[in-house]
Amino acid sequence: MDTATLVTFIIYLIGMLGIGIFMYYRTNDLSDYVLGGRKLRPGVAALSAGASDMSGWLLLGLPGAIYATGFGEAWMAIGLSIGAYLNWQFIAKRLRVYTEVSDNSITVPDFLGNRFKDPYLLRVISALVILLFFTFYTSSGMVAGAKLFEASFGLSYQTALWIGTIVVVSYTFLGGFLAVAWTDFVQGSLMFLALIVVPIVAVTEIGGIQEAVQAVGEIRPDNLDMVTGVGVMAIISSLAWGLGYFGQPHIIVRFMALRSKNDVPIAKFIGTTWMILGLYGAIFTGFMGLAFINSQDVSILSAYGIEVVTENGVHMLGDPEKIFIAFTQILFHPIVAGILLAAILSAIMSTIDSQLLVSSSAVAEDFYKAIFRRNATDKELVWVGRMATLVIALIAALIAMNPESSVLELVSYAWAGFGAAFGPIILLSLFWQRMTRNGALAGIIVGALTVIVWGGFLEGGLFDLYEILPGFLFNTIVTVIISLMEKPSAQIEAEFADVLTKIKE
Amino acid sequence: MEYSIPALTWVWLFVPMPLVIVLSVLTWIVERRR
Repeated sequence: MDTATLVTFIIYLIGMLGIGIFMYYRTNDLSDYVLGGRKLRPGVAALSAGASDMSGWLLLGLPGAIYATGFGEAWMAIGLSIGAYLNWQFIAKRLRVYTEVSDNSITVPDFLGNRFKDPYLLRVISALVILLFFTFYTSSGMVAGAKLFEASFGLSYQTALWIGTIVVVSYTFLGGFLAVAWTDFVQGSLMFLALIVVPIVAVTEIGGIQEAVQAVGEIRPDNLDMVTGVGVMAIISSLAWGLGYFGQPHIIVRFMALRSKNDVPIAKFIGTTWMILGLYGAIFTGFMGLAFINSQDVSILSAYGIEVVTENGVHMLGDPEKIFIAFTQILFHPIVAGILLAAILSAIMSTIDSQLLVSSSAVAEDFYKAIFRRNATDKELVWVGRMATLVIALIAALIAMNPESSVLELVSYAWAGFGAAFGPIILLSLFWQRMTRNGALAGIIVGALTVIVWGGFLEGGLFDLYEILPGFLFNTIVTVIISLMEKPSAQIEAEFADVLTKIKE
Repeated sequence: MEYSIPALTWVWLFVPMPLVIVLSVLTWIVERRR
């Protein structure tokens, strides 16, 4: 690792800590700690939602998949773009208004509890699901971050894990939501910059887009085709990822934190544009990679420590997911390489911090305050939130100490699990006055169980379909049927009508 | 042999996602007018 790269990287980490310390002095109560006091500007909310959502997949997974198999892997990008847009379009404004009207709800379980006037069961079950899955989700992010540190700096995996954990936990612990949102904003900007700069420099280096297409065609003509050879089931499954957005607590909490409902349209535009341009950057980084790596001398690649395998005379990276890292090492000055490397870690950190905060919010607001200490002071709740951040991060780091742990496989169900369990519930609760608490409860259970059974135990034919699709569908059906069998209280109906009035104001 | 990106791939790759950006601009303008 070049010293200039290392110094740039360390400056980035110190900057993140600085934001945490600055926001510590702006955090006075639990609403500040878990929701930034609902004062988030649209640009910050948009980039924060995007950065929390994307994780290392945007800079490692997607370019790697396109590099290895071509445009056929771009379907998921389309599904996610549409899903993220619909989330902003249909959920953001209503959720912002509803959560404020409904007893100023500050977490997703808090909202569900208040929306259906159920102070315990619905809230606690939702909070438990969040706590369980996000602890493992956080843990999996820590593994990815530590592996990046390990590969980039030559540190041992364990040392890398604890350095990364200490930095993320420090700023989340101190500055809560404000620190997380503002670090996400900086991290999202870095990711965007990296995803625009890398493919542009790469295509210039190759000699133009047509030259890159020609080179890729000569190596693997199938990589140019997004349709032929990709099964209908695979396309539907990839597009279905977009359904997951409506139920991701760490993303929709950004909508609740917006300064005003009137900020939603501009935030939607910023968030959508950021995400789609970033996805294009990732797609073309992977695409250019095949032409670029093959055109390089193996001895040059080896000098950078890049592992190369040669198949039928074609040089390929040993690990396709390192294509973005390979570009940063070969094409850029060490200082710029440090910034680009920081962008990859940013993608990972911005997801870890958000999930960590959503989990600690669940402990402070939905367990501690809701069950044990209804009259807890603001100061006390903030400190419970901070301690929860610390404890959850510690548990996640301990799990991450063994990167081969099978418990981390749970993460593969997390996106579908949240999407299928909470997605229809959030949508229906915002748009359907007749929805009842029992309908919501049954829907969450059916959605979650469908994902586990479909994804874990059934396979072949229709069961190869991504589990979020049947989970989402069955949840919706069950929620509607159960809700139609009873009637919501007059208080719930009146509150719903109040929300509609406030949305139109 | 000269290679190019197939027409259908062009359509799927460069129509839906930019269309989403256009939609976000249009809805932004409409909501601002309201």
